[in-house]
Amino acid sequence: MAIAHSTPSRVAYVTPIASLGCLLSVALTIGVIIVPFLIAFSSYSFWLHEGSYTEQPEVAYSSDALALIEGRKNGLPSTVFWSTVQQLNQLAGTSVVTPDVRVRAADFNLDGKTDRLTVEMTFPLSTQGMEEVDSVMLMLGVTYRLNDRVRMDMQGLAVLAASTAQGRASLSAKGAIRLVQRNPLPVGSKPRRVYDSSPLSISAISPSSSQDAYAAPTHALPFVVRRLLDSYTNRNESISFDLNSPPFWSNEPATTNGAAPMVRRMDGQASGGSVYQGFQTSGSKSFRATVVMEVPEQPVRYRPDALELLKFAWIQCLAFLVPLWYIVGKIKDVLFGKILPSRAVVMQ
Amino acid sequence: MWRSGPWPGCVAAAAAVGLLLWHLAHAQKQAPIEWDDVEVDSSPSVAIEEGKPLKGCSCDLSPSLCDANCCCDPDCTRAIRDSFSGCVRETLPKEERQYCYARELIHKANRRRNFDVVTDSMYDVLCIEIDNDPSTGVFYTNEERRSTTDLYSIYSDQNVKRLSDSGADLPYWSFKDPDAPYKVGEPVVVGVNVGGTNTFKASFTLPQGSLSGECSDGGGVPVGFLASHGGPTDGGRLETGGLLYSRDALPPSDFASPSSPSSPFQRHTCWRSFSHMGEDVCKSALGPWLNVRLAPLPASPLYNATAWPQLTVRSIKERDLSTGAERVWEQTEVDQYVSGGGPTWETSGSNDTDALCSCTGVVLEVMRKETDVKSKQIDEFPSLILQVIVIYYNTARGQAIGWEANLTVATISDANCQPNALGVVSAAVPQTFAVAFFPTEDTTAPATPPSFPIQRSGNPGYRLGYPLRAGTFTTGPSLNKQAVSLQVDEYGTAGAFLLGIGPNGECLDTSTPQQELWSNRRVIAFGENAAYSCRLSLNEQELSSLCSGDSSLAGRYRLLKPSFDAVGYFGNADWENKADWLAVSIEEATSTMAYNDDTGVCDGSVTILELDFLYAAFGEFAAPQFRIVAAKATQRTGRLRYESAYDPSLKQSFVLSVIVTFARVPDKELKRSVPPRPPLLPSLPDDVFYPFGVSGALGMDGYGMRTMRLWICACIVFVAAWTMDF
Repeated sequence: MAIAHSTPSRVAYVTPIASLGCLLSVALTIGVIIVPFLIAFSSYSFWLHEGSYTEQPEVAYSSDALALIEGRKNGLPSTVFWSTVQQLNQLAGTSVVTPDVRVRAADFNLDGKTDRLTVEMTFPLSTQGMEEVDSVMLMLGVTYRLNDRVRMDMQGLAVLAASTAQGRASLSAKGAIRLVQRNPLPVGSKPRRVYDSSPLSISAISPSSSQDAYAAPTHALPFVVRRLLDSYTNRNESISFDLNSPPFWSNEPATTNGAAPMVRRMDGQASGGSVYQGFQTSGSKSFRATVVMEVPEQPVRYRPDALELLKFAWIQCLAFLVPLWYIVGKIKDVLFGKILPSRAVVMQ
Repeated sequence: MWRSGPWPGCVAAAAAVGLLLWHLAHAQKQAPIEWDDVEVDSSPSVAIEEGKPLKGCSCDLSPSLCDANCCCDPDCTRAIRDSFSGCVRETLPKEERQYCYARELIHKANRRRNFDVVTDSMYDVLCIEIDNDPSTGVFYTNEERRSTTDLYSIYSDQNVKRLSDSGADLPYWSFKDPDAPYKVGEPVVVGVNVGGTNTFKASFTLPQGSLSGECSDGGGVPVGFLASHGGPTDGGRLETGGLLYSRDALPPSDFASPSSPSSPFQRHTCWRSFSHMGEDVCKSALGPWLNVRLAPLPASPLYNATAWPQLTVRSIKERDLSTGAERVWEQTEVDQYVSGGGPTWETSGSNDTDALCSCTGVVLEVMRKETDVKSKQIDEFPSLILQVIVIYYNTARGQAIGWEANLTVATISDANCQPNALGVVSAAVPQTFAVAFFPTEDTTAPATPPSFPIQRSGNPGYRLGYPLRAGTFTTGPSLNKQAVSLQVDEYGTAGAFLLGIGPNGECLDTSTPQQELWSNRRVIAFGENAAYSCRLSLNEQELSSLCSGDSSLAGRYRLLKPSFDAVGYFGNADWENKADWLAVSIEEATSTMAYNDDTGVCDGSVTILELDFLYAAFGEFAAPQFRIVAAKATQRTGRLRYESAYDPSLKQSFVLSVIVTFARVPDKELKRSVPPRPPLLPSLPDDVFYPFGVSGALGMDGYGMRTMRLWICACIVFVAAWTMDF
């Protein structure tokens, strides 16, 4: 004799509804569902509160800018200011100087996204009589777009602040644009445009003036600049300009895009100390600031949607449910097969 | 009681004797040779026997003296040895050796019953703690002597470098073959010639600005052979196709670089400061390099000075600093300048009030008001200070065959004839140095000045940052012929230049000398958005006049008048081929200006010139070639408002701007190009039916050949099938 084929037999244990066996069976079944959930939940990270991924944003210069240059004029502090916001220029009065601005975007890997954004500003200083530049604050408006899991259009600022002990005629800085988040961003098909307006707008710090495009801020310029920065950094999401290396100051004769350099002149009051004291060290009559912004791939924190939330929760439940289901099944086999009485045993 | 008489003499004598003894004790000595102990045929003191340890006690370093803690020293008595605190370990005791091997290797290779091992949990290796290996040790088997020829081969194999191999003390040309030509990027070598003799060699460098911008002659920028035009000479950074530029390299027209990207010249500008205008300053730092000779080859011998080309001053331009006018010197003046050794210095006046030192012919320039001599003020003036050097090289090999300089000179006068006590800098002027290489098939420098080609801005597609190729359509003598007139700067760069911005940002009018307009030009670079502005300073009356159409003031709008009406489609647009050029759509403002005396407002004034360009990619996706597909120049009008109501004579600034915008057209669907599949049937040679021709003789074309091949194949199949049937 030989076993040609075999199939598992199914045994059904029949009990009255109001019996201990029936209640036990129901309780175990409910337990198999409830217990995995409780275990998964109590072991944390059951509900996925946030996720992250990396994406290279689309970055471009938004044409908004603010420049605050401080230096010396006849040994006394002097300021040169320029912004693309008319109200701020009004605050600055006669210290406003309009620079030459050059912007270049480079796409190295031809993926359609800017990999390096370079902005150069050349300020003619002779109008203000400034002799040397020793401190620079640049705020460059940047549009920032995410198109992957998170869809977002935002305008941010690349802020560069640098100073030097000796007056120089040019400054170059290289860094990277990074996304700064306080809370994860929501995902959805509709782009998030909460901060898709110029952070240099006066309405950003004075909402009451948002209705009037010509309303002037009610503070002195330095405080307005500080409030602009405060307002910007208080946002949930913003961008930062992280320097890769220290800013580089130099004093090379400035040639503005082909223009010839200027002669430095003596003011006749030189005395003592450095041989350059009393000299127009930025005698090229212009100051050039070059900011190179790399746009690398960067992590984006987001708030998962319902489907992603349930997917990760279900996986965790299932991880506990499957072994528990098997164990409870074996327990029930023992209980009903050997311990608890049954009204009938049916072979199926 | 001490007597003072003889004591000083005794002390001196004692000191002399002591010094003599000390000297004798420390004088150089020689090892004494006992010739009786010298044998005629001696054997080495240390015998090397293969498979045996060398005899000797390695811690016994003092012959006939007991070395402390050296237990094998025969000079140590037993009593001394008992006082040792320990024994200097000669070799690792066998019982303490612990060899460690990778676990998986030892298990496979050693399966011995009496093999005791311990495991090291830290490093996951298997270690032998007790080795009952019957061998007496492992010994070197090196040869006792090696030939000196092996020396260098071993140096080479082991990459041994002598300390002197660092090259710090020897220039690179010392290792070169005297006949070896220059290689691209290799520093050009010059010799300093004194009285017809080359005194020493050096790399040819251009003065470079230090951090403070001062010219540092000692640490200048070496001039690399053929290294210009962006200078990618290290192979890996060369731009290819239409790629914008390499990530590793700086952009070809890096903003910080004063050089134009589209120029064969290597250029540097730096400040030259001086504290006084003495003869020494005039003759040395400010003059051209007349005593420098060019090495034809990197390792050309110094002694053959006549083979080293002398710098030829091809031309000298002298600029009148008061008018900006330039005058080209006659050849006799040039010869006199060169024979005189460069600039000439002269002084006038005798006292502090009217003393004036002048240096004529310096390779830099500065303007100075003669009326302000007492205040020692140096006036502002835009300067273009050049020492342009062209090096000729033979195209057959990298050999420099001559060089020449084109100078722009001027006169500096300064009341400081002597160095001042504080060393205060009297003035500083920028100097510009430029070097280019020009090929020739001759072996001597050409008699006529070279004509550098007008540089392309891409070939064919534009490169990012290179000048936009622009000009104006020009009709020739024959009306049906049109070409494009290009503006080219002195470095061979053709571009869309914007003129009208002054050195201090003020608006220059059309009456400004062309030299000043040109020296303050702005260049529109492809793919580079830009905003250029100038400042119009007007009082109320001038604004009113300007707005009323005063022709004398209308020239201030120089910046806002488009200076070109044609843009090259590609970066290599041929200016003699009209089809290579796109007509710029120019939209001039038509509104008339009107001034309101009550409000001080001028309406309808042109304030902005917008230059908009669209470009698109063509060619292969991996090497896109950018082409301008649309160009427009639009004048925008605005409102000029005079604000100062209290003093109408006060000047107020009004800003005029040029806004340059480039936008790339979104790419349409990319099309994959698939070449036709290769034919399934083999291609038969034309003479397969020789002597029966099928192509020429029978007049068969390609179709006929394919039909013929099909018939042949069908026959072969038929024959094969018929054969199998059998």
